[in-house]
Formats: sequence, C-alpha cells, structure tokens
Amino acid sequence: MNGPSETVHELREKIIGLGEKSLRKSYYPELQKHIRALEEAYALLERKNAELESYLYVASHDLRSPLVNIQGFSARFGKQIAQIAQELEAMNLDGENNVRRANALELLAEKLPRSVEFILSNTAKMDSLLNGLLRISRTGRIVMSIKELDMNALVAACINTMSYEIEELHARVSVAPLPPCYGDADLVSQVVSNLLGNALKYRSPDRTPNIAISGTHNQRKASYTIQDNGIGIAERHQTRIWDVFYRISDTAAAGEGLGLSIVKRIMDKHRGSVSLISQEGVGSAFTVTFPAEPFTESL
Amino acid sequence: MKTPPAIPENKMKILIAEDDDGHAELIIEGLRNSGITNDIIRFINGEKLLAHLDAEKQTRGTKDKLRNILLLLDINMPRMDGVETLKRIKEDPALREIPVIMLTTTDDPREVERCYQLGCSLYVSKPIIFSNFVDTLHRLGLFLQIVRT
Repeated sequence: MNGPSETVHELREKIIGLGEKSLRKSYYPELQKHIRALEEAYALLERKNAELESYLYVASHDLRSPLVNIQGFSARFGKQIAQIAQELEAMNLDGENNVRRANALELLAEKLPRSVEFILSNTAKMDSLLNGLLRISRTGRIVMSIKELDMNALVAACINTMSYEIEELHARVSVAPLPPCYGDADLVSQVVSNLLGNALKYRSPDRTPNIAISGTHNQRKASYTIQDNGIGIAERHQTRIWDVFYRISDTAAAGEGLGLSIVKRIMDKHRGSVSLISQEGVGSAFTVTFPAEPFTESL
Repeated sequence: MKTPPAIPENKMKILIAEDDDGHAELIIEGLRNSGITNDIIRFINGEKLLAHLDAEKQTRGTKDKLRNILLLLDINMPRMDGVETLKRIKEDPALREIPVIMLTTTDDPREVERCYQLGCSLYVSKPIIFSNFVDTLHRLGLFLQIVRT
C-alpha cells in the first residue's frame, strides 16, 4: 500500500531511468516538463492533505465545545429530575391528586432518567469519537525529527514496555537482527508498539502467542515484519482495517478502531508503506517499510 | 438555603474568561457545588478580563494585593484567546504572580506544553471533573484562602 508521495517518487525515478537509458536527447525537455507536472501534482496533494488535516482538527476540536454543554446540562437535568421527584414524594395529597402524583412520579423516576441516560451515554460515545479524530489529526500534524534509528534498540524498548503483558500471556517474542532506518523515533515506536500490541491482543485462544520480528533492507528502504500466530484477519476486512474507526468485531477488546489508521498515517508521513499478509485462523504478518536514507518532510 | 459565611477581607477572587455562556454557567455552578463561596466574576474574552485587571491595578495600587486573584482562562475565545491573555499576564510585572488555570476542550500536548512554558499553574480539560479539580487546587496550594462551607 503506497502513499501518494511514494507513488510520485517512484514514477519520477522511472521517468528519469527511462530518459537516461533509451531516449534521444531531444525528448529531454518534454521529459522535464512531465517531471515538473508530477512534482506540482505532488505538492498540490500535500497541500490538500494538510488542508484536510486542518479541517479534521478544527471540526473535532470545535465540535467538542457544544458537546461539553450537552453533557453538562444533561447531567444537571438528571439531577434536577431526581430533586423534583423527591419533592413530589414528600407531598401529602389526597384522592385524585394522589393518582396524578403517582403518574408524575412514574415519569420522573423512570422514563425521564432513562432518556437522560441515553443522552449521556451517547454524548460519551461522541466524545470518544471526537477524541479519536483529534488524535489522528495530531499525528498528521506532528513535525518529525528525522534521524537514523537503531531499530534493534527501538524494538527492544517497545518490547520492554510491554513485558508485563508478554509474560502474563506466556507469549514468545523473537527478534532477528534488524537493519537501521530513518524516521522520527517517537512515531516509529508508536508503529512498532501498535503492531506488537495488536499481535498480543488478537491472539488465538487455542495457542500460546508466538511473535517473530524480522527485517530486510536494500540501499533505499528498510522493511520490518511483525508476524504472529493469532486469529488472523479475514480477506474481506483486509482493505478496510486502515480506515478510521473500522473495527472487525464490536467487543470491548477490539479497541477504538484507531490504531491501524494511525499506523498508516505515520507510514505516509515517512514516505513509507505498510502491508499485510493474513489468513483467518492462522495469523497475520504486518510489514512496514521505512526509508533507509535521510529524507526531509515535505510539509 | 444556608446563609453563606461573610466573605473575609483579602479572600481570593476568582476571575473567569469564557466566551461560551453554557460553559461559564457549568463552571460557576461546579465551583459553587464544590463548596466554593468566593466571589466569581465572568468575562466573555481575554480582552475584557485584562481591562478589569488594569482597572484593579489602578485602584489597588500595590502588586501584593493582586495576588488575591485566581484566573481561569478558556483557550479558544474571540478577540483575545486564553494563550495570548496568559502571555500578557506573565509579561506584566504587576500581574505575573497571579495563578492562572487554563481551561480547554482538548488535551492537545502541544497546547498544554505551550501553556506551561508561558507559566500557567494548571491545565484542565473540559468537562471539568470538579471533585478532582478542587483537590488539585488544594494540592497546589491555590485555594488556601478559599472558604469552603
């Protein structure tokens, strides 16, 4: 799964390669025109992307403000309903008025609190969705500090922070020697932790989790694969797992449906890619590819 | 209804800059429900709050007395937002010792970082959980002069 930037870069490489090898010199100006057009398209894409990130941020940020009011005043409404019920309860009424009081109390003690409960549980849900969107837009807007990363140390640190869970599950995590790559240490750690966390979370109940981390590289790219023997991902879900809020199951363990879309964002930012090979019931292997040479963030 | 205790002289006054009427009402109500009886004045943006502080400076004269103020600043406000207001307060020798609490609808780490760098005492996300909030204020020693019923 290539990011738009990688696609453009690869195309440019191809055109340049073609030009050097087989084209007559007279084609060069035209070729250069194409390259420029590609670069312009790329810059436009980046700008549009930044614009989208900004919309996402503003929308999720500004929508939280009215939500705080809905939440706050609904909670107050709930309290006041209970107070009115109490007052009414204390009244000493006769005959028909007593029947009417009982009717009012039924509304106040059962139906209205139930409505308020629905409003509150749904604002809480909306709140968590908006927070998710905010987290995603933040990831997109982080200014990266790109340097050469010792992936052996970085992966070891990620494993270390999860050591409690790994021991609890008696999971086996093996790491082959990993080549270095270039990237932002925090964001790359986030990718590794996320994939490792998923490998543990989506373990098979029938076998001990076995996770193997390995890496390969050439001059320009370094790839790392995290392979597990977990529950795997059915083919029909495989293209959608990168989508924001997409969850395969709706159990609590399934999480908020944000992890992989954040991974995808981080990989795009690194002009890298993430891919998946998985078989339901057998396990999954996620491969992330980072630049193996210095690069600059284009925004 | 209980009669509130008489407000002692020098008691801390709480100034809130918040453009959203609903948020302002909920914050004031939350503080009152937590037993806080101090004077609370609300402003609809940072500019109005600074104008009030300027007037206080003129009438009170000394810098010491301006310490009996606690500021709650919303981050997003029209005309002058909370971050700019915080910056101006911390630049003013007569105001810089006033404790400032930033209120926000997000917990954007960069925004939090910026506010602490500018010198805010505390950063709180909305909706405010008042039990935690008041405890934190006590721990920070910010509410020592506040009378609780």
